[in-house]
Amino acid sequence: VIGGSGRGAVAFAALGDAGNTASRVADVARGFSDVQLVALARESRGEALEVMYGAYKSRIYTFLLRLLSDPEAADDLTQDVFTKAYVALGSLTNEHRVLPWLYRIANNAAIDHVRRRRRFTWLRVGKLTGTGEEPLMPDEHGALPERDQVRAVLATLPAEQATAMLLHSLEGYSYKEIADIQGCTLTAVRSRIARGRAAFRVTYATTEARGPS
Amino acid sequence: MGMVHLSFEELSALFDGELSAQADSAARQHLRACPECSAEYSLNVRLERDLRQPPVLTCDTVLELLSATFDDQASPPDRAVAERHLGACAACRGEVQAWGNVGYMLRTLPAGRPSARVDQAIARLVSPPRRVGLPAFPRLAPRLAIAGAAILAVIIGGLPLAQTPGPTPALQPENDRVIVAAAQQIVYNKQNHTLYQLDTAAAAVNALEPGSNEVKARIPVGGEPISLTLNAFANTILVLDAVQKKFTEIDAASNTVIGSTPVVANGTPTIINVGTSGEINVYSVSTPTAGTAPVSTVSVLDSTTKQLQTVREIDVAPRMVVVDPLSNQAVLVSSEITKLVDSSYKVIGALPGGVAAAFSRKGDGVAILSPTGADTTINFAGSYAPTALKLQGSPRAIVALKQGGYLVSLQIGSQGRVVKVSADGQAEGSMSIASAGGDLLYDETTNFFTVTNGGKVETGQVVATAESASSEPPSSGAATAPPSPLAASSPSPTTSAPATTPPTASPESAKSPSPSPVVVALAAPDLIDSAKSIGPGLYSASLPSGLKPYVMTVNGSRVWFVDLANRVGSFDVNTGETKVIAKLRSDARIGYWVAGRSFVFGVDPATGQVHVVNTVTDSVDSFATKVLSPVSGAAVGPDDRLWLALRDASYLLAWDPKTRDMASFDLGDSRVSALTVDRLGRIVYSDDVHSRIGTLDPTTSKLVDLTFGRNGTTTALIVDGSGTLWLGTSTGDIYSVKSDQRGLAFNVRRAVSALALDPSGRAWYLAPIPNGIPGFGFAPADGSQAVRSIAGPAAGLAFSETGRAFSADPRGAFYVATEEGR
Repeated sequence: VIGGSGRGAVAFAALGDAGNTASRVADVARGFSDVQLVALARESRGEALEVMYGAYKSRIYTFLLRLLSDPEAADDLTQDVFTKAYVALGSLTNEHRVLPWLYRIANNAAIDHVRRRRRFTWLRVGKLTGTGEEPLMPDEHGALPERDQVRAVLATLPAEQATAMLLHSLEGYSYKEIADIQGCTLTAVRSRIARGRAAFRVTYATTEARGPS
Repeated sequence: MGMVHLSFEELSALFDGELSAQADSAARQHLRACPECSAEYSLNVRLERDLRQPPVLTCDTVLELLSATFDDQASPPDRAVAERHLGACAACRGEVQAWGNVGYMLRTLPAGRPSARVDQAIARLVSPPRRVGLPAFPRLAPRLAIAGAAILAVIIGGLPLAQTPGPTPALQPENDRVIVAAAQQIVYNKQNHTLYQLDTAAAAVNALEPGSNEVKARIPVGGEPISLTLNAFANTILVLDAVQKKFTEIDAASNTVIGSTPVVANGTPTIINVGTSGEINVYSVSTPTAGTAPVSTVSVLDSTTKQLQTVREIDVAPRMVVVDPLSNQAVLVSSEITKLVDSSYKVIGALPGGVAAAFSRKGDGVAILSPTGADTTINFAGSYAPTALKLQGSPRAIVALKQGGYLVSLQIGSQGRVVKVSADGQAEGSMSIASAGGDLLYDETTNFFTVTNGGKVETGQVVATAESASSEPPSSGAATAPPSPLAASSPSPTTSAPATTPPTASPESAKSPSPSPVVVALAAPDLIDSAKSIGPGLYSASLPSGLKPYVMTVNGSRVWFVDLANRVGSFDVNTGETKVIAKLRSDARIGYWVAGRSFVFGVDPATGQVHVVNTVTDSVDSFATKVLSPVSGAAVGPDDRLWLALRDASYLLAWDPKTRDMASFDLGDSRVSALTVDRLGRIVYSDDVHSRIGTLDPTTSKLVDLTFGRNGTTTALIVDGSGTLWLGTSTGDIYSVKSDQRGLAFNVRRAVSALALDPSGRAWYLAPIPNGIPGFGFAPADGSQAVRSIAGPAAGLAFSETGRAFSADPRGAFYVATEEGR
């Protein structure tokens, strides 16, 4: 065969390892399988929520934190996600996988939040007094020099693209699973990730890394 | 060359690998030796390859396939296309290589877990207070018990409204802090054109006819209602009961109670509102324990199912929550601090505390009503934030006006006062109302406002500004009280109640402290209310930012001006309302700015261009008059014709703005230095070259002149009501001439800036103050009054029909002098 596909395949193989090593935590909550959790929800919504919250709160919170770069908003939205889940627990069926279902709620909440946040730009906060009210971003992971830049670049992407990238790269979901979570087509997911990734790379490459201020 | 070339079939077989080893070897040897065959072979190779391969897509088209292949999520055909492109495209190979880093970089983002407050909120959700003792989150039990105790404390100590329902949500100074019930007590439902007013004393909601405030229905709700809100999504009125911790729903179509919903919350529910997507929010306040911030919760309920959707904690105990539908932001107003939050209650900013707030209707800011001692301060924040405004009286309520600005309800003693505040933070006018101020409602379609206080309701109209008076006649019952400046300057229930709603006619009057509708018209706001006092009877009325008038004249009730940026505007001499209607070309320089009956003319002396303001339509037209000499004087006749004098020509031009005809009148050899028109329409001129003054009667074309010596050159000229001509000069000399006789003359030592007539026809002058004192002085030209001084630059002088003098302050204001100071 004349052509370069061999080289391409090598490139993919080499990069594939590095690019997709997100560890998938087993979707099992404190020993409860999804089916058991759904059964528990029928018996006691409160207990089911307790189990779900204990098992998945960090996953959902981390997803929201990474997407929004705002611990307080991540807190608020995490609470929203589980409150909504609590109300909707009765609608869970045995066909449901619980964590993707939670991600779906979180995804919608996050995208709503980002859209609203973009609308909220008219007030020049500098004009307001006592801006000490603004919550500080706790950073228990030490200051990675590129983290701020990653956050900043991620924030420039459309929310749908950023969530799709995070769900794939960090949560390890397949395109099909992401389509279910985002409530869109497979083609849309493919496009979101491709466009998001390309835009991320270009934006990242064209902005200067700044140290933590 | 004699060489036998390879046939097309041989080349093709070679390319396909179908030649025998020997023939293959021979053919390749030939290719090395024969450039023609080699070229032919290469072409074939490329052709064949292109035909056999999947199409090479553009980089942008193939991006998604590359990305999916990278993620191992592509179908085999897609993967083949991607790999083929990658083989041919070094740029995309580099791109794909870089993607490995993207995954790495995303993994540098932090992980974490929700804060304890979320844990606690979820714990409460799982095991609400009544289920304290369930094992799920046992550590929370003590905290919940404390919260339960706090509820009682709040009810007993913090809510006079709910505890002792009186006719008035009391305004009580308490340890230097003013406690105001800013609870919403009235709403307007446009779906059935009805006002719903909460009568806290009678525990009922009155459905009122807007305008007349006639009671259409009275809906008892029982309990101890504290506030109400409109659910426009469901066409219901929600009435919150703080003591029974529930809200009652009234169907607006039938005006009947259709249900009530308990509010499960830690604390006392004090505020209810409906969010922009129809959700019902109930705010509950708990008494803070010592040393902790006040904790409030917001219970968010589904609009239709009334099911609890979420509960949020907020660290402020709001007196009032105002949601801005434009931005979805809200302000949580407490006495210590006002927090601006987004729709998920994330704090965007902190503002001064207060009792009430309103978002501007232009979406550019928020105004907060705060007590300052016994008075009120309005603090503004946002992208357009004027400096804080102080008002007399205790703050009660504030609403935004559709045309910008706000309406504020205040209490002064036992009376109420409603103040109109402009968008740029100036008090534009005010009126007193009979009862102490309370909650305020503004209906933008009619411009009517309603103040309610316990059982009392009063309605008035936001001022009839120049344009709204003519274009928006009041449409409801209050039309019986026309928005005249004099209609309600001192309203009382007996004089201003319209005949349609006599106070004694209410069938409900025996049952309760009944609404006694009092309809009043808002007095025209007086610009003096908002102007800065700068001396006895002298005020400075600021203009909206950036307007710096340098010429002015009066036409009717408006001062017309041109500012340094060549904007043409008007300033209402009664209300101070300022309007910019046009901008002249940037090179225009207005030397003469003179008013007629329905026109104001601006003349550029150098170019002869004339800018004509039609003061009826508020429009400006500009004309080139093709004068061949600079203009040396301008005046307007009673027929609205503009008279122009030319420096280098001995004739006058009269230009009719309606027909655009130009007429000319010969002046012999006179050269005009200044021009004016007397009461009879005669044109009066001053000739500095020949030391003359002259009069032209345009109806007869009769010209009369006389020699009249003067010092300096003429800078101002006017004929007063008695027919006396006053002439001011560059040397500060002011001369009078009556019946061709030289009269009084005196010297003010600085060039006379302007001469103007007051309503009685007396001439006044304006001139800089001598002796190096900055500022201007003005006085009657006959010396009958002492000179009044203005400490600042002044341009032009004119009087309103009410006798107030106006002068432009090129720093951005108008000086207003009242007669009191004379």
